[in-house]
Amino acid sequence: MTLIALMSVGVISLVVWLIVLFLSVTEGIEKTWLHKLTSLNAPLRLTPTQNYYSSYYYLADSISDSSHYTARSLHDKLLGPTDPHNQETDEAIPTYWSPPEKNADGSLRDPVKIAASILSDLKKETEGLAYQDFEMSGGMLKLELVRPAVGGGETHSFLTQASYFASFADASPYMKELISPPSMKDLNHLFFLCAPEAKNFQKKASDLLSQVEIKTLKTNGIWRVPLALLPENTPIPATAHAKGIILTGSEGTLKRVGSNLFWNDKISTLPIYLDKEISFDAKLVKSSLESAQKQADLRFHVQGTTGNTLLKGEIAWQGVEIADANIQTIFSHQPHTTPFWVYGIGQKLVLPTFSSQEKGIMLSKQFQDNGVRIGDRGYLAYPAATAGALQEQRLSVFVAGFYDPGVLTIGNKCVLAPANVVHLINTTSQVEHFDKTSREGFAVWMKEIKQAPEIAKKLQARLKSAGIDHYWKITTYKEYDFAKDLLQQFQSDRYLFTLIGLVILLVACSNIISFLVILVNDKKQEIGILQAIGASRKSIALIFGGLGAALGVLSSAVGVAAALLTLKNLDKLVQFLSFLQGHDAFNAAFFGSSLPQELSFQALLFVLVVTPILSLIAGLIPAWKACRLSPSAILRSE
Amino acid sequence: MILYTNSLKKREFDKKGPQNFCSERATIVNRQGASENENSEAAELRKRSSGPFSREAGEQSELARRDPTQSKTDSASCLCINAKNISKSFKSPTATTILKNISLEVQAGETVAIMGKSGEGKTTLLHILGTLEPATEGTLEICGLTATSSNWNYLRNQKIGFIFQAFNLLEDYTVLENVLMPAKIANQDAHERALELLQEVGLSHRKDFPAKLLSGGEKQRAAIARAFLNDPALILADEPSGNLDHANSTIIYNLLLGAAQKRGKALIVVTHDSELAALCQKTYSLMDGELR
Repeated sequence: MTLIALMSVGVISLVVWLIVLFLSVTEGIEKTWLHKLTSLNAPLRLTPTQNYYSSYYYLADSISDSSHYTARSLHDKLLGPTDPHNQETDEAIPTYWSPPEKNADGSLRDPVKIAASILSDLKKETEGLAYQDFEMSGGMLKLELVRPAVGGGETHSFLTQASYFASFADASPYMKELISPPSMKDLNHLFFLCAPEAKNFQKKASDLLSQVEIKTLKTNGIWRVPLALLPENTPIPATAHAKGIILTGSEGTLKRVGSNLFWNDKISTLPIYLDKEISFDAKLVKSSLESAQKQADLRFHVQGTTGNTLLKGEIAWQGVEIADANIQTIFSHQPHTTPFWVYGIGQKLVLPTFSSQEKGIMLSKQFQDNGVRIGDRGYLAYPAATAGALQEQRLSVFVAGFYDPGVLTIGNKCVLAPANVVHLINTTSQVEHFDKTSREGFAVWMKEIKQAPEIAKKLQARLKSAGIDHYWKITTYKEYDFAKDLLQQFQSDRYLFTLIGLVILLVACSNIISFLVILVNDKKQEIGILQAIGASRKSIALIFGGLGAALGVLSSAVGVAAALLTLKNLDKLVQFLSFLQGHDAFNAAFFGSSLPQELSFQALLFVLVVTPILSLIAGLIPAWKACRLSPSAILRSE
Repeated sequence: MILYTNSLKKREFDKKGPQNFCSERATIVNRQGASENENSEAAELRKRSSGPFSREAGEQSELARRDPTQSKTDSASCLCINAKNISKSFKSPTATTILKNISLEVQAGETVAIMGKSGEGKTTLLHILGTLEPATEGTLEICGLTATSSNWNYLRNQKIGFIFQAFNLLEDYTVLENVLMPAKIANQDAHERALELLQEVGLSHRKDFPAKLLSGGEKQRAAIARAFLNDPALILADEPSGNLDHANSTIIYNLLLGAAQKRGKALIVVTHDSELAALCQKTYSLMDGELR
């Protein structure tokens, strides 16, 4: 009987464990995806309506000299005058324009500055709220990829992609976590890019090395061992190659005796290479930097081992690459030399710019996976009208970093560029890449994205009381076109999983019926005796019904505790699953670097309410059977 | 497996009858006078009974005071059991009438033996009288209360004490727990009383033993203590010595008759043993479904 009871508890606990674990992980994944989705795009957006674009306030720039007869972005509107039009020098206001909306004091109403002021007030009232104006445009991204060629020299290839250009949101509190730090491949590439320009190499390398501390070097493929690095009279395994024919090596041992190299105890006449990857702790010899003209002129003190043999000495930067380095990405003030990568000054993120001619851009990390590196140069191209015809205009850019686009459908095509670049393209391009009402606005971030609807409501009320609500449209992440389908899918999945969970739980709880029916049969005599001495049918029924519910509560507790334990050690479980499958059990592109480990409150509530109720219902069937037993029949049969 | 029922019963008993009459009993009996309302024998027995063991007169009066429609007159309340025209038939496997128009009145303090051959329906009659089984026809009054399915539990717990041939103790419980079970169901504290009863049946030294470790005679003595715990007016015993040797049977009978007479309880015993039946004040024989 105890065994059957334990089995019932075990089965229900297992189902509870599965439900809590599954729903917690899926809810965590949903949260992660939503977070990524809204980190880049902000969970709330305030965009100008068509009323704004047909208002005197917006159109006045196009006939005003002080605005260079060009529509101004929200950013410019925030910084510039409310009414740029000079009635004396600028052309007359067309009569078909809507009349200017004025304040009580007769001045022109400024919907941008008022909206920014409302947002500023909200920021003061709401902890963790941040906002920034944004702008979007489109065009072609063209990159020239310069790479070292096998056997020396370099190769050039080109990458072209139609892209969206979005202004870099340096005020976003979440941008920092979306940015991938420069990789060692990026660093090696940056040092490679310094090399072709010999006259500037020393300066460029110094600038880079002022922000990068190289800690480890590793051999890259086969490596010609510097004589000085070999210990005296100690044989080490190596491969001998005929010069230039690296694939025809022969295995043997290498030994240095004085200034002579011995290959299998004979003085070597061929260059000797180690083909095993060796990592060295490395420290730059600073004096080598002063006169360096090329990468190979830089020297390092290194120390490493091959097999059990210690290799120690000084080597040139040739045939080795950076394996580990400290990269400075956060500065307390503007650095003396601008890094090639996105960096922070305090909490503020900065997209590097080397001159007005060359600006840093950020690409999605898929570009990085496909071989694009920090430092690659190129341009943003877009069609613009010139005096004669429509021509392609180019703005020079270089890759300054990579970001995680999350599950954003256009993520791979979205280039983050300085706001002024995006605005320039918007005002000069002859192609409308976006509907006006969605190409610019204010992005609003908050601590928890669930706050978005509530903040939207507050914002709407304040815009209304300021009399500018007809100029603005508030959109939360739930209404974003690119997110709507995903959110609906998440919701459907959640309902489906809950329904499946309910059915499994129902099947598991039916075990209680079997257990209690057996128990009732086993305890017939006791039931009869209790009835004979006055126990009512109701109280007999309550015993078995209560026992069913108690089993449910106990199983829920055990299952939830097991789920908590599993969530805590989820990484180990994933590792085990990956080991069994022979590949990553969960693709990082979809599930993040590790699965969410947070317990879902909804899942917890679901099992803690549903399981005891189902168990109680399951207990009522045997309870009914128990209370229908006739004491006379039982006692007579004993 | 432990079954708890005591807390579930309290409200039911609160509705149906008073929980503690001991303090009221003396007042009521003194006011109404035992000799005025009860037969002399029962009154005499009650006078002899001691402590908290006899409370039925007070209880019945209290019931009458609270719900006069459920109670008979005081003279009728002397009748511990009043069965009229009890019949019992079974439809399957073949239509059989096992009891035919049986009427039986047993007064407080009266001891009655029912004899008969096996299969005559003695146990069925006892179960009907003990509300363990409904009669096909007829009416049953216990201590002035008409037995209906709604008050069976109350009657079994408060008015009737059962003693079975097979003892029917809860084997995994201790002797004391078994004896206390009727009080637990009624949500009453009767620990002291249980100890006194165990002392009386000579089982004090076994009170903490699981019932399954007792001998047959000890088990039946424990069952007698349990039957008397809630101070019922009526004791029903079904072949109480059926599973015992002669020596133990005699002990059990003496104990049972002595306890019933000492406390003025009505006792109905179903037995085969004419020698033991002779110890009872009245002896009936059940034959062909009729009580003679």
